[in-house]
Amino acid sequence: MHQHLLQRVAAGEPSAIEECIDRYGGLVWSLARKLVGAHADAEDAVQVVFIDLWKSAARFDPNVASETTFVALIARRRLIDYKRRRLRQQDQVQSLPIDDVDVVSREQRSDAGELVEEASRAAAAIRELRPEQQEILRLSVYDGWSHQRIADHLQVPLGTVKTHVRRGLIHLRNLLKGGSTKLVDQEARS
Amino acid sequence: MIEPSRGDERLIQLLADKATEGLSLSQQNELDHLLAVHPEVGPEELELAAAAATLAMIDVSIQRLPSRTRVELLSNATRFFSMNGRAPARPNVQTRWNDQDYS
Repeated sequence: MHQHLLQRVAAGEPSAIEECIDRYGGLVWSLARKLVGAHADAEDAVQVVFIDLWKSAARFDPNVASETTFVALIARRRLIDYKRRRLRQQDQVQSLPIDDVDVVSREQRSDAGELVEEASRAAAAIRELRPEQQEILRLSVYDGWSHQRIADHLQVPLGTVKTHVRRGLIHLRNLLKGGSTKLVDQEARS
Repeated sequence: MIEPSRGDERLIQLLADKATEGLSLSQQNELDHLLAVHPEVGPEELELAAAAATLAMIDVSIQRLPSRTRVELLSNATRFFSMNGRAPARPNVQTRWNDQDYS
């Protein structure tokens, strides 16, 4: 029976651990550079993410999400925590543009197939959102901006930003889950 | 279909905040309490949505992991799995890429 990489990691299979680092290292590193910023901080953060991945590997359920999405979830969670801690420590995080460093083309990625499929499904869901929702979701989810910063930047109330983020995520979640149970935004119904 | 009552909006907002900004300890405690009241709502559902959105947005800009970071990851993995009583990884310290981006 086919075993997913994370299931092999959970079993402590030596080759799976190295394979996992090689398959997802670039993704985690890219997210760390985007969300945490400075090179040294990103290096620390990547170590934190992978330790949590080793701990969480046994929780991976292919019926709930793909492996790539699960890794991205763990990475985002740890990177957000890391960034919050750093912000408390230094009250400021420097953000570097992502396109000033070595970029691996889609064809070079060993996991290109899964990433592309995942990305295209999510991208299709995002395209269904209104343009202002797309922008706010991008600033929040991808650029890692705080809701307050987005509100200040776009000169809209904080509550509006929170509503767009919430509705955008619910919309994505419902589309990605297909015909299963749906979350409903209370305000959207009224 | 999961339709939270108006009072449960707070649960959805906390899930969205967790997925995007993270939560303070008191907010996390509040979320844990609300999730216990609403077992029908998955604790990671909006985090999964945020992760999928990230994959869509990052699609064309995956960077290489620096070789030194990779070596350190393998070393830490060896320690982690040894300490947890599972088979340790055997680090292959040979760099896969001759990237010069870590100097």
